[in-house]
Amino acid sequence: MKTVIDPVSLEIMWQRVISIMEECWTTIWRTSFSVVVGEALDFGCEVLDPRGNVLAHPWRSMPAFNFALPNCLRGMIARFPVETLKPGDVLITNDPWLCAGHLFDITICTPVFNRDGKVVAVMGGVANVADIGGTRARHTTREIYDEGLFIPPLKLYDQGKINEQLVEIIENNVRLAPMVMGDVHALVAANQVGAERILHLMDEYDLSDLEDLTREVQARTETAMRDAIRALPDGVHESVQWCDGVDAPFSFKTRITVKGDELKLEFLDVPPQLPQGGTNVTYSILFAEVVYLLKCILSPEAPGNDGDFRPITLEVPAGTVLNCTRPAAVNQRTRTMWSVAPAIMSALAPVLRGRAQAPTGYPTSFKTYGRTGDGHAFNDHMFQAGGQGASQQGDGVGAVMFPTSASNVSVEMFEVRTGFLVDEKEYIADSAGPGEFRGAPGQRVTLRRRPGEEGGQYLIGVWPTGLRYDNPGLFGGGNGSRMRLVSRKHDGAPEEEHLGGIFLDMDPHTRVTLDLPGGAGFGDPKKRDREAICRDVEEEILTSDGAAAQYGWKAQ
Amino acid sequence: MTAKRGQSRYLLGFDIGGTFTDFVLLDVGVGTFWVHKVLTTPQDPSKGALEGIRALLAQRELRAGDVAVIIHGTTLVANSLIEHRGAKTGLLTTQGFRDILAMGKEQRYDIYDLFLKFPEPLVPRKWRRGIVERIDRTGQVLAPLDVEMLEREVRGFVAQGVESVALCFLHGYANPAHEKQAAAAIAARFPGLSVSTSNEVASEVREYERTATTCANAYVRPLFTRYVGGLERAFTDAGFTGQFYLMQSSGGTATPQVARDLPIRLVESGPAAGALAAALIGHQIGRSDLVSFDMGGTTAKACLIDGGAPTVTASQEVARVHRFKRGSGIPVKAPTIDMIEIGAGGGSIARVSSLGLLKVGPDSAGADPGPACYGRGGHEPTVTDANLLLGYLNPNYFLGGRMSLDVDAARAAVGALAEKLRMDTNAAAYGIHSIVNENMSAAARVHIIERGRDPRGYGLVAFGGAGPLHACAVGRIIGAPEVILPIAAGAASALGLLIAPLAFDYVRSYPGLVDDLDLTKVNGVLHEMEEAGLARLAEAGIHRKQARVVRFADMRLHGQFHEITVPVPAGELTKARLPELKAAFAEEYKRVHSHLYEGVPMMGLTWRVRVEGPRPEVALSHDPRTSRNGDRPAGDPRKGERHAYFPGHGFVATPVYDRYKLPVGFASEGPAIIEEHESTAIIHPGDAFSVDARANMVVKLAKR
Repeated sequence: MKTVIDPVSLEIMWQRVISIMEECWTTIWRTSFSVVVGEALDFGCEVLDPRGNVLAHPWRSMPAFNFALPNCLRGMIARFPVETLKPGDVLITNDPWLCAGHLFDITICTPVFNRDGKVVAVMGGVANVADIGGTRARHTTREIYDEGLFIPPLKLYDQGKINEQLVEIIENNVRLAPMVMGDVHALVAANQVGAERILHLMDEYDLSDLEDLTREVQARTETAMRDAIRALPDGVHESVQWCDGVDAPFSFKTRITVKGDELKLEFLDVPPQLPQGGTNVTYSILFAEVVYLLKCILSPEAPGNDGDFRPITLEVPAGTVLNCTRPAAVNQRTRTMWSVAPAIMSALAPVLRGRAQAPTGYPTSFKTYGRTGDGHAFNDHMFQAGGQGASQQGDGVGAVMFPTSASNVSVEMFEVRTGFLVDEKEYIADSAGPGEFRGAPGQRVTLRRRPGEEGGQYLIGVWPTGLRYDNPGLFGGGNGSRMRLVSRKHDGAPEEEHLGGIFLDMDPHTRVTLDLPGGAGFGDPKKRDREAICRDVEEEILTSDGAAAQYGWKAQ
Repeated sequence: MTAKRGQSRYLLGFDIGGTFTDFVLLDVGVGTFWVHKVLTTPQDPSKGALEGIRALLAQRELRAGDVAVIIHGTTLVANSLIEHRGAKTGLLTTQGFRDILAMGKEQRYDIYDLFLKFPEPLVPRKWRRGIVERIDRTGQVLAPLDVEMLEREVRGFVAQGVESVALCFLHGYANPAHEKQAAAAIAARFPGLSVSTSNEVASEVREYERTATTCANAYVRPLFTRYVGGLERAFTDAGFTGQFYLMQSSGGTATPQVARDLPIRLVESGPAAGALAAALIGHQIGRSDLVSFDMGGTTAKACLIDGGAPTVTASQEVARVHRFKRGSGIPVKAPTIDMIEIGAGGGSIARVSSLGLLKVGPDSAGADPGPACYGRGGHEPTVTDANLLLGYLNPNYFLGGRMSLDVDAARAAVGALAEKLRMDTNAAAYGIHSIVNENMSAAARVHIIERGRDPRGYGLVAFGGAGPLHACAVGRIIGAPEVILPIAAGAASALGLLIAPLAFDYVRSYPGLVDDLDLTKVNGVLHEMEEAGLARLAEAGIHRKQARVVRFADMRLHGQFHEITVPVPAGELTKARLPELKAAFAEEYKRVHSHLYEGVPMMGLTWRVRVEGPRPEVALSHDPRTSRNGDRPAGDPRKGERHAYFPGHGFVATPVYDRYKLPVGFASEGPAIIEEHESTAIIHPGDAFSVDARANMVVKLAKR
């Protein structure tokens, strides 16, 4: 029976569920152990219905995780049907084809039982753990087997009892196991908190299940998405996008067909999955990324849930880099997947016009691992963003992570936890993509071993996206500076450029410098306000030479 | 205490808010207080304040010389940051890090908003300069400070009219030597320049938060220094010879000197007073666990009073681009009474969202044009309009009858909304009322639960113009057993100013595993901070024997990022006493996170010391409704009745009482409406209320 919920009660309950999810988010954040989760915030959580449809997630949840979790939960249910689950059960998997596309992302799902013992919801959380075993040399993997421990859908807890054998397997396969298990337990705890709050909410509103609420929430979200699609003119929009590849760059075509209130997205001319280097993308995470990006563009005000999926279809040939099949290597999936953001935006820009945003410079993390001289082990990521792309609303505002919701990592915290020293983290002059509105500048980050640190081990891996191509600006705007990764044997030594990333055990003299890209520009640079150019020169965002080259500017 | 103070019986507090300046004058001899309220004079806030003080003293036939202590709460610091009205400020950083201030966390606080905005950095890039120097995480100097370079940059600042300089070097919390050396060099060469160093403002690890706090301090300091100096001169000119203190965000007061040095600690000066007032009222009626709930025209604030004192947090966010979105503002590391602000008030506007749902706030019609029923040209339906239609407000007795409300205008505004929702007008009005209650309750509940407390054990104390109207509904939703409605709640929050002790807060990061900590160093750091505070107290005439010293440690499990602040046992910290510290952490951790993840070593990160003077003993022994010559309004407290809406009952004839005439000891049951000048209280059917000896109304909420 369908009950119609009035717009007042629906608003109240919907907001309450979102506020419960905020509390789960805070629980993971506060009780996590790795830099990648606790500082960089590479995690997400949500509440789903027992069939795997999303009801709500917190506002800062990692976007791709939000839209991948439903597929993951469905995979778990296929293995453990809902009606067989018992209170106290907690499910786990890191299957890249079910969920977030690489083994580092561990998913934990906890069923919520009502007073009659029926599953009424599932709390789900995903976190990018610091380690999952396998090689540290991520660029060398040829198959998923090289990349670490594959956990199929299993029970982490069976009726409240932890699966000790599974825990032992994990603990014996990952580096710094307490850190990894700490993050897993943060997910378990957050699900527990969420489950209790959901039951409390149901008691308060005298609900025996969440069916009506879920249906209504998803229906309204779907309507908002359909309305937004309908507002676009019917037609076919295409773009060609470059990717780094492993040994050489490649391109693929994006075709977006808008018809009425439905949108079909096809990736065409996609190369076959790459045999080595881990840059392949699974369909599950690709779909999540596509829905996320379309939602940002089309329906950003509505809270996200399953309603966003329904009007969207995604077609991509199997066995390709964008829809790889087992046992492809996938641990560097973002090097391909993040290029979907500029691909979709440039295809739709001609119809979006003022609502379009020029490409934002890709983020990158330094992945460090080792021991300091005094034997302290570390396995920490240092994240940083590229410059934000410009739009008709104005210049890009700074270093902003996109298409991810991660946060940077404090230089001081990074130094406290690792054996590294950060020599610089600063904007790069002339790196912002020129335009009537310019992008935000890129930043330069240089790392070395902390002086005086003797002995130990200082592994560092950096595999940025966008080393071999530029993402052009929109409507005449220029591209931002390109991602660039160099090393020097010692201070003052010549630079060596690394187009395929870098992986080395740092000696005391080596410096690794990463130039993150500037954001691309929007509109013709000739139309840029002269005062804005002068201000950029005064602020050293532009050098005089750069201003002359990009805008034909002359010093007064 | 000076002899002078012993002779004067009067304490005077004034709190300059955005709209009103509130005054409270207390005769400590008999515990009587008087309140006064004037419009704030935004151009020069001290003008209205000084006139108000003169008027209040004249009413009581007192002179400035009769006042022992003046305590001031101010929004000047917060407004200066929000409105970007501060000094031309320069920032000196470790070379290679001049953009830390602008980069912030690099995080998108709303994942779907491609165009999100961040606060404009308080220091433009041209005045953010790197200086050669480097200290590592252990405090060891890797590169000495280039003093010549420093002087060159500062000379450049001065030439460009920079008035104030912030200094923040990497790991300056671990070793402040370079910051101190740089500050001394600047003071020697450029004596007129205001200098704020990160080790003095917020000596805590994490460069962005520390830099942002230091810059905010530097940015407001020249303006605030002039302001405090002006007030001091005006008080002296008026013949005031007592002590002058300013309220800090922490709930302690500061001497004018500390306030001038660390104005960033006064951002939440006014709201802190309100939280203390709630604690005071709780103390009087024997309740130590309360939620202070203050709802005005635009926002509502909630604060937890735990064990008789408001909870204090080490950081807050100010000047948000999106007022209610976490992450869209400037982080400030300063001890602050832990409050949550919600975009819900009488002026909050109701509308239908793109999803066809009823939304209330966070945008507000403010005072101008205000709600539709004000009849000043506002056409959008607001919470006040809904409350009027529901019979909760008396159209002829708004602000004590100084203003009448237009019921037809309210009906037209809410009716238009109801049509879009396909609901009838009354249902829409009740929808607005309940959604704003739910919004406030949800935010307050999360705030309480995130601190590991159960809201069901906490009474609600309501302040503000709209607080008493919504308090019982909010209290019921969060599960509070009772609601306390102090009289004159609109101005009474200034009472909190008078009970705040003089306090000095210090902080220093020294991270390490608890078992491996160099306890000599920890004790040294704690001792140094304690002595600094005691010396400051001595300067204010308070002997160390009267002082209260409390020490805290920010601790976490090794490898985690989020710290929990726990008390450090008094006296020397020895190996033998570490279990006490660990037990305190474990207890608080379990309280906040349900269970402790066993087997992980604990870390101490940041050490805090608060040195307080004696807490003023303020006993309010008096029914504040009594007039100057001892009379109280007499007559039948029941003014009549009107129809008011209650769910499950519909519109029912509800008795209306005059708050000023309700005798002490009066008790009755809801439904009831109690009117006073600045607010109206709504008591729901089934709830029991009574009036206590100090004219507080206590409402026992029926379980639903």
